[in-house]
Amino acid sequence: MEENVHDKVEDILNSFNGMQRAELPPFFETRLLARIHRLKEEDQPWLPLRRPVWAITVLSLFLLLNAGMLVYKNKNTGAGVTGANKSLQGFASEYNLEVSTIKY
Amino acid sequence: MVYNTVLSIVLQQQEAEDICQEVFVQVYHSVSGFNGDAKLSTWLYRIAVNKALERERRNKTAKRINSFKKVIGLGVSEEETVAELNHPGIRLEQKEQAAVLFSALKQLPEKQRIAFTLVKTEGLSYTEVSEVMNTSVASVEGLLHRAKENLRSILTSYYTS
Repeated sequence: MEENVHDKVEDILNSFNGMQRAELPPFFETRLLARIHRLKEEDQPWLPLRRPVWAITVLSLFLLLNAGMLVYKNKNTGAGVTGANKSLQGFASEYNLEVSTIKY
Repeated sequence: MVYNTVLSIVLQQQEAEDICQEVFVQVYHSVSGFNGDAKLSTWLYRIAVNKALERERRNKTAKRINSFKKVIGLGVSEEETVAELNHPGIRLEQKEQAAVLFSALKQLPEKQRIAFTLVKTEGLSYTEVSEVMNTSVASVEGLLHRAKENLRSILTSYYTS
């Protein structure tokens, strides 16, 4: 009985004899390259303008802002001159700097 | 070589493939730091063994945490994947015995297990194993001797119980 157990144990210890190396599963290289490529992309700094959608959105916003500023400025050009004149007159009257008061 | 080593340690083909990928990704990132003081194969074996052991430790920790959570009522019961103790390189007539041996190997201390695995499944010499494990040849001989004694003891108690 003991010899039986001993023989069994020795058989088991020798069960790796003649073992072949396990082969890589199919398409391993493809999956590995895909993983490396994915990691490379993740490593790159986050730049929203890399994607066309983001680039077009940002550009459109920029153009809209510029257009809006131009329109706003054009609306205010008339009021701007009158406003400046008013403030100048106010300044002049405060310091009695009207044309008639200037004496040489 | 890498896949065979990792598979002999983790004993699950899916997990072995995943770890293999991690090994090659690490090689890809750190190959510039390889200064050639050891053979390339030695370097690869080291990374493969370390990654496989890391994964095993992580899995053990996760299992322990899960068991603890179950005890205190927070654990989610997950299907435990039983390790497939089935190495595709083993001859058919020896598969059953090899499965018993793999099971016994899991009970050995890490160093003894690695030394035994590298010699028996990869066919490395004692010198090569000592380079991979960064130890002396005498240490490797000692580890193998103790591994075989422990395996005999485990297997004997398995068959006599």
